[in-house]
Amino acid sequence: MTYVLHQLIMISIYLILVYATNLVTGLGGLMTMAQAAFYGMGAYVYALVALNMPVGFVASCGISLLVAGLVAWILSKVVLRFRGETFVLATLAFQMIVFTILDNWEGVTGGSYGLSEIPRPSLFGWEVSTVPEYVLLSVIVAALITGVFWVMLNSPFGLSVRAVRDNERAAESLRISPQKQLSRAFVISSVLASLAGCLFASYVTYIDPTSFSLTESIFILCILLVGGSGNIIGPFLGVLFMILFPEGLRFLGLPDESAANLREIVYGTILIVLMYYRPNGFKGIYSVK
Amino acid sequence: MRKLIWTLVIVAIVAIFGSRAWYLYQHKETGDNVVKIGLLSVLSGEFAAMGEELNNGAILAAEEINQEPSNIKIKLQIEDGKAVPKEALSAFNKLLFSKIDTAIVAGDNQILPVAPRINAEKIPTIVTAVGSIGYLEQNKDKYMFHFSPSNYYCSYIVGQYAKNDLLLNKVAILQMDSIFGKEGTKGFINGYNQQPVIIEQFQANEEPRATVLKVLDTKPDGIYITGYGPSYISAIKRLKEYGFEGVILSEPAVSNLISGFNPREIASGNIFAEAKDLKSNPVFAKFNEKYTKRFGKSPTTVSAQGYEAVYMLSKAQKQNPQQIQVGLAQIQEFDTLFGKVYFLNDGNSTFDLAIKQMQPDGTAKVVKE
Repeated sequence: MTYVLHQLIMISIYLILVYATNLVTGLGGLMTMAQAAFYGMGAYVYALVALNMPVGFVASCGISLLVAGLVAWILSKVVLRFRGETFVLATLAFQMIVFTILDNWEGVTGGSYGLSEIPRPSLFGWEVSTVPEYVLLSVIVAALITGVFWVMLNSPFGLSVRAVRDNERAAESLRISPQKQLSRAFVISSVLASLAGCLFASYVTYIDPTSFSLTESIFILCILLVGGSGNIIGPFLGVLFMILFPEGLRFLGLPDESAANLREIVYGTILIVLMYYRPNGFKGIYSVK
Repeated sequence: MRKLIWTLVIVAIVAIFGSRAWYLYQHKETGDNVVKIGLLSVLSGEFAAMGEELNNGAILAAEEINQEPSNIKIKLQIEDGKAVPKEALSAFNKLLFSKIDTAIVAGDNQILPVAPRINAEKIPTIVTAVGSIGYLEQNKDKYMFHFSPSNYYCSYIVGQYAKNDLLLNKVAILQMDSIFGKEGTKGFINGYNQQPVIIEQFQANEEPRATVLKVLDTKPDGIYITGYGPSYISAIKRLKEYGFEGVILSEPAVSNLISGFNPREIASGNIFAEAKDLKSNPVFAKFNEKYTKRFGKSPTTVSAQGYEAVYMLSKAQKQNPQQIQVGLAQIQEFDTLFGKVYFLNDGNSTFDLAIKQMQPDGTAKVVKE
């Protein structure tokens, strides 16, 4: 049963990550490669605070979100000068920098050894120590974020970000500042990614740089593209498919010696077929260029 | 119509996987004499070669035990953790879902995230093919048993040998960017008791040509190289190719016939620490023969670890059929392909090691015990 509950926790964490990416990529039209960097930043800051300062889960998360927000705000001043491929490269460079720091700053991040024995959350006297309790916590947080995203989608802010995505010049003529709106979206997106990082670190209780590599950024982006960006249902379908499908393949009963490789081949083939028939994803209303 | 087709496709997929999962969950191969071992290995990604070696060793041991007339039968279930914490945790949860009795976990990035689950579910586990023993700090209820020659200790005695016997004054370090590599560097520096002239890192999936050239520029009289897998082998190849005439100090992995690596040509002359009587051991020769016949290639240290881990679990089951953990804890000394292995109270183990040098004929000669 723990296996099924574990999948529910991972679905919740990835749902937050993909909604965060949807804000910049789906609504803002900018393909970011730095999501895993903010996800990792959130996890590491949370872990460092929780391991060294007895301030509790909420305060540790708060500090983590603050740091991610601040870094994202500074970064946005630079990367949002660019659009298209240049923006992708700029965020990719940031992702590489963060990964290198996590991997090499051994005195603080533990380097390749990572950080272990990260405390489990304790919320207002509620010790979240078992897997079912953690399911409850992560599902509540993911539901809240889904609600926030839904409100944001049709709010004046959401509409103005979409306007910038569709036609920057036209948006400017309506006194919408593209820089300001995209910067807001970028910061909120990074803060949400760091929240997912806090949940991940406190659940797994061990983090290392491999969980926050460029591959992870690409995986998050893939979930969004498979599910469909720019709406609320697409990311949800994407997360369900991309998390559950590879796990389902574990039950195919393939021979042990070749199972892992065969699973990767089946998974890759299905993704190609899917993208051929549904280039905008399951429920995409905006196609990322 | 299209919507209906898509819905039917999704329902069919869910039904197929769901029914298969339910079948596996309900049909555990049970019986007092069936030990279900979950092997959390690495079958894809940078360290897949290591995972394959480990699995082969474990499969061979399980087949041998199952052919014996004794009552114990081994059911081995292998899952891929990809050497990534979230994947490892997911794979280990899958093993728990399959109701394993006991487990073998390989790799540093895999044992650290699953250690809390091992403790919570009380699964007696043998941990092998890891570089660091840091996870043992979490071994409060003694469910984890370390069975792997410590890379730190192997490198430590090589460092001592470099300083006291070879009298090397200017040693450079070439380190693979991994826990395994970093443990090697730490151990070597502590044994050598002097700072190296340079420490350069290479990645597990890169051709380390430039890194090797940078290290050679410092003109060291010895180079300690630590790591595993294709890029590690490639780094040793490059050192020879660029005509390095000093001493190459390396890992136990150097005595292995791992993918594309022929020690006769490449590692001849290398100094390393390894289990004292590994190759000269007649039991090892027999294992080597059986393994080569079954898998069409020579075994490695990691294959031997997988092989012995399964035997150790079957011994623990024989000693205490009700509680494998108690059976494992009772094993203080275990005769393995690596010679005698001794278990300590915290779950760690020690091996009899010796300093060896690779010979041109592919054998390893003991140069210091």
